[in-house]
Amino acid sequence: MTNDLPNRDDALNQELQELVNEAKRCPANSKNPQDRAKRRIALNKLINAVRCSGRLSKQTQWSGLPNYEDYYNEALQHTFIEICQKVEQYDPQYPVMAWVNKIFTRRFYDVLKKDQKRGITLLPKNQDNSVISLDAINRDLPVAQEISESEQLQEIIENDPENFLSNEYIKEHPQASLKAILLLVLEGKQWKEISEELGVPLSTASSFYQRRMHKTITYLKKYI
Amino acid sequence: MNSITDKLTFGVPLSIEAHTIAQECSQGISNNLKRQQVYLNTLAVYAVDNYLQCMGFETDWKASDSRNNLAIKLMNVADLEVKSIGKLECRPVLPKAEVCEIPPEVWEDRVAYVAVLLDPALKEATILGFTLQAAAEVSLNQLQSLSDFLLYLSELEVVKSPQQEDSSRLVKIGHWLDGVVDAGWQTIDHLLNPQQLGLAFRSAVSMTRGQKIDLGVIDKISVALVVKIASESEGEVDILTQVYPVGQNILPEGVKLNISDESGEALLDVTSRDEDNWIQLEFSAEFGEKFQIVVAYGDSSQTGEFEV
Repeated sequence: MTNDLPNRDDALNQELQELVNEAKRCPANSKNPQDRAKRRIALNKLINAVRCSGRLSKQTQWSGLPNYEDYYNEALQHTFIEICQKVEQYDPQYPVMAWVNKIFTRRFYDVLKKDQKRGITLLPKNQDNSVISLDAINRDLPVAQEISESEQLQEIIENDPENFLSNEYIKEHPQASLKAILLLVLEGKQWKEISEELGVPLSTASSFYQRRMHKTITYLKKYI
Repeated sequence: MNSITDKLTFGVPLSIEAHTIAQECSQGISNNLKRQQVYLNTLAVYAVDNYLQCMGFETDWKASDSRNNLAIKLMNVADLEVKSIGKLECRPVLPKAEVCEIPPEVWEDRVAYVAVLLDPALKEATILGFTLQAAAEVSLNQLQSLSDFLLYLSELEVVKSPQQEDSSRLVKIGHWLDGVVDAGWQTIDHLLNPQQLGLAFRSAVSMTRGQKIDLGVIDKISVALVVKIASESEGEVDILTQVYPVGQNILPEGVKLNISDESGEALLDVTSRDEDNWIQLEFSAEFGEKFQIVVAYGDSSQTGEFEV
């Protein structure tokens, strides 16, 4: 064993096996939260080490596919969940990476199959069905029918058919009603501006708003 | 990606699935800034959801406000329900940002705030750490590490989850008549005000005890569950269960009380109406019989297991 490469793989495998063993030592259903946390920390480190290992399969047999990178990422995600859930099933007579890559290849195949079934209609609508970047979000303009959804919401709030939104207001500040706040929020106003405009402290206004959100949603839903 | 000796983080690849959900959520929002906010919030929650699944926590994203079509329009919200733990708020952090921003409308009702760094191509999310501090801005270098996060959540999980196999949680109500009352059940004069005490029925061969229960996610309420056990005939007991408001005289509308058998099948139920002072259910049971009392309000509920 004078070759450098196997040595490096051996060292990697030893590191990964130690993390696997640490996770196994602490059962998932232990009544001691410290044990549960130790197991989880070991699994977190294991996934990080697997990703950094440089030994994850490139799944080259699929690299010609147009959505290869997206398939790769999705399969990898499923693989990580499976490794964490099934860490007890790892057989130490094989290298950890061999076990990981075996699962990875299976999950890659699943993602391909699932994608064939859902067809391309469910994929994001832009850029050759690939994921969109930070810059691209703003370029993706909504269609006219969708604009009317926000307008409809605004109209319901303005009409307030049962006067629920105007009757709910911050104590001693009738001008700071749920209705007034909702309309300012829809306008895109920041909480600092809302607080100044209505003359109430910021956290009073936001807390009042947050606590009534579920009631507000139930109310608005009746009219949509 | 940090090496494993650095502060613990976790990377989540943002797949087609993540972007499909983000697009579904942000659809129909005409304001560019708002649409970007919803899109990024969705990716952040997706990443944390994925992380928690890896770590063996049970999440319920679909029941969270961040997947509610109206809530996301009316709030800058990126919450994730974690079963038997509570709500986490998953805040997206853009490349080069030095702080994690937490909007005021999510300053309450959160177990923790998790910072999620997104890369410019939106192909990778990195869970950086968390904070318990609900402040407008939290500096990234003040975040607590994921090791602490996992410990914190594991502690909450053990404390909050009902453990069926743990028989000490079973309330041996049959023993109450012998004067042996389970821990956590107090005499009702500590729970109710004098006016309410007049309403709670008392008789000589009985034992009445109560427990305070906190319910509700955003609309939080405290109620007292009062259980009275009386032995009228051999081998059988009469049980009266009542729910009172704590600290006020009127129960909010929609508080539910129900009694189920051992398998969880509902036997009796009652729901408070507008202006109810209390609600109650009465039934009899044989010695050795097991039953459950469930008190619920909105999305939250608490179940107690009893044996006569």
